[in-house]
Amino acid sequence: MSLARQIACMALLAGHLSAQPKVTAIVPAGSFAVGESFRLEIRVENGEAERLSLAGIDDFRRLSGPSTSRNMQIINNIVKSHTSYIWELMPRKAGVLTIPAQAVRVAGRLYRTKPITLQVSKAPDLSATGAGSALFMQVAIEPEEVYVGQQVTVTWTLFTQVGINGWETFAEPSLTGFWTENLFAPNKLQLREKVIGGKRYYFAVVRRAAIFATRSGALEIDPLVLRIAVQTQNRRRDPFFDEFSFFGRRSVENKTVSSASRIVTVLPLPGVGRPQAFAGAVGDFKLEGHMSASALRQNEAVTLTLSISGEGNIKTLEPPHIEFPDGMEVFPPQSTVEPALGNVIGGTRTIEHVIIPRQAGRLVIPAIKLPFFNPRTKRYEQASVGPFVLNVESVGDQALAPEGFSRKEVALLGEDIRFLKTGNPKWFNAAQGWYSGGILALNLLTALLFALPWLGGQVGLVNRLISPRLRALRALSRAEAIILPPGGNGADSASTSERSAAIYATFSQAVTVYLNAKTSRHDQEYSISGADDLLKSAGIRQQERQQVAHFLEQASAARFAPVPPTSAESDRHALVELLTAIDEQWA
Amino acid sequence: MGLVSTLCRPALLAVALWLPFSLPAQSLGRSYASGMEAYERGQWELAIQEFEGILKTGIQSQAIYYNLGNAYFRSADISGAVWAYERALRLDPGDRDARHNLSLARLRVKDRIAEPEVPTIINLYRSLRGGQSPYQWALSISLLLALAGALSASGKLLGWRRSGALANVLLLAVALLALVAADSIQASRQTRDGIIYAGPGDPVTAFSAPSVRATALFELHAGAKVAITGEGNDWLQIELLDGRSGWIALDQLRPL
Repeated sequence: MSLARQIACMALLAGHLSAQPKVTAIVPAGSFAVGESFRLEIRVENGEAERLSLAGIDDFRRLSGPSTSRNMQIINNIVKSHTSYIWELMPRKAGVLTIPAQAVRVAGRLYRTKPITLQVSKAPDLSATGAGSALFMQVAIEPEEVYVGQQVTVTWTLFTQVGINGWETFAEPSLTGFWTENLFAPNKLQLREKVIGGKRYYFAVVRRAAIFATRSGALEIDPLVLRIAVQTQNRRRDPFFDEFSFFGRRSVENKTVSSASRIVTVLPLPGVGRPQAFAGAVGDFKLEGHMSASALRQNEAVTLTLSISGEGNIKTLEPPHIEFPDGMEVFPPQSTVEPALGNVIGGTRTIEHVIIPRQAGRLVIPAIKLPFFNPRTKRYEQASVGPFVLNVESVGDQALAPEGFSRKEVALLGEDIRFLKTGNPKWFNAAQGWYSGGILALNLLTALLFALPWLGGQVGLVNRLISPRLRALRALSRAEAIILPPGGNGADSASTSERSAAIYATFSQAVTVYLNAKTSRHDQEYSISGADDLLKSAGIRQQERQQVAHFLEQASAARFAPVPPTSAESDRHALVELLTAIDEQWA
Repeated sequence: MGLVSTLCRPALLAVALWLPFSLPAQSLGRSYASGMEAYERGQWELAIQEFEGILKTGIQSQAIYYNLGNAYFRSADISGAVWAYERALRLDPGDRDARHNLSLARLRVKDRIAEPEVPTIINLYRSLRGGQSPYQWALSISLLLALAGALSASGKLLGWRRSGALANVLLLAVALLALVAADSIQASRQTRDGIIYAGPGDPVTAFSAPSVRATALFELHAGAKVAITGEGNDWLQIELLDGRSGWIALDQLRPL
């Protein structure tokens, strides 16, 4: 590197190091409306912010952020770098809104951005006409005025005139003051057609939720924000491609669509006529119940099953109070909910109490009452069941242990012992230990098995006696496996001549394997006369020897002169039969 | 003559060895059948007498303990029922019927002694260890070992490589199981348990020393299971699951 360059680099570095940090808040130019998101960027030049967070932005909903991006440029030998911190914000109301000055700490020093004032217009009323927009979302609330605990069904519907490639929820509505349960949240849009203001739209429900207000007042349902990939058509003509494209070029653009925020008026539950035992149940409920037995013995278990069914927030429903009489041990109840299908939240809640009467006599559980507020009739009503009577017989000294049962043990209370074992017993002497003669014999056999190869190797037994005999015994099957392989020899798919050649090629291999196995030889090759000599020494008749020679000659000839496949097929079966006959003589 | 005597000698020896066992076997078979008939007629006491009579001869089986447990249970002798079912489970820890009946018998035991909580992994290991009796452990390990031996021998003699590899895997499994089995056998030797025998409304008192003049520490009722930790002068030192310890008279407990 030349000296001039080194000096230039040093100068650049010095210039960079000596540059002072600068902090700026930036919003895009243009108009702002309620429900429309925008990007707020805090740009830090020549440095990085330490623990940056937005303050005093209550008029805006923070949808995402901060995301960070870094940028460095060298222009005319001057280094410029900045780090951007970006938030996605959405105005909550119309009017003049201010993003206050934000304090940003850079390299230990505190910097402040300038406050930004935005003129935010009202959200366009899309619910009526769609306001001519090609892509918008409506929110429907049913009903708009409810009592505390009453169901409100909120439905968000997306309308579009443009093609949609994909979508995702960008910001969930924060339903403060509501208990929420999703009724419908599709993964894929089910589009249908509708004409609004003379324009044809496709629409699909993107979310439906049942919400239950937990307090009274005017409660706000925040907007649901979706990010949608829409198809757009480029108007700019491409000088090369547009000549061949009638429709022009299409591209995909991400758009943010927000629903309007809505207010639900929540009325408090009336104080007039409110039953003392009322625990907040709102809806329309029915109460049923039964005991698993009405007469039983002391310390036996019985189950009281209550079933609450109807419309309302059955999951959060407080179970009715039960006054159990003295002399009953009651275990903590088990509750299950089977929700009803449809847009109205409800279903059946089953509550089971396991009870053990510890005292004999007539025990009475008084009527069980479930007071609730019915928003349809706008009155307090009451469902009730019972009373339940238990006649408990005394068992005196045979009483079970009085207390401390686990739930598993309670479940056993109603059961009886299992019957006798009626099969023939396996008798053995009690003085006999666990290590029996049978196990000893098995262990000795095992030791012998492990020692067998070693013993065989030591005395040459395996090589001289066992292995040759085993191999000789398997000679015929090995040869047969070569001539008639179980999966075919691959010749089936070949041409006629290749197929015949493949069959005949196995003949000499099969005879060689057979003879080697019989004579305990390895990798020994045989000529026709050599094979004949060996067979002769083994006492094989001349007729079979000649046939072997004939097959080997034919196999050799087939390599040069094609043989019809039918002959090859019959020959290979004939060779197997021949080897079988030889094997019988050899034995 | 020499050949005849050579052939007859082992046969005579076998008969001589089998005879003493075969004669009582016939009578114990009759006693067992009689006990079973008594049970089915609802004569629980008679059934207990017959079954206990067989056990006194030193001959036993898993089924007789199980059936004896049923007879004790029906006759409302909870100590006897718990003892017999525990014995049945020692011979066959996998017997679900015996485990079920023992659970029912234990419901009638008045002492609810809280077992100290043990980590799940130790509980799992204990269930594996107690899943088989020492005899069953020995038998299953011996069978696996024999299979490994057969595979190893065939691999070496016939050149089957896969047999050799499989034999090695089996040997590894046998080694691990042998460790568990050894621990199981050791544990069964180290712990001596017993069942408290007491009449209804007449609990057993545990003392601080082997004397009725010592301090009374706690009471136990029929059917409670305790560990025997010491003995001397017709007294047994016992320890409960919750760690309490004391001395009780020898005849107030039946060892398992």
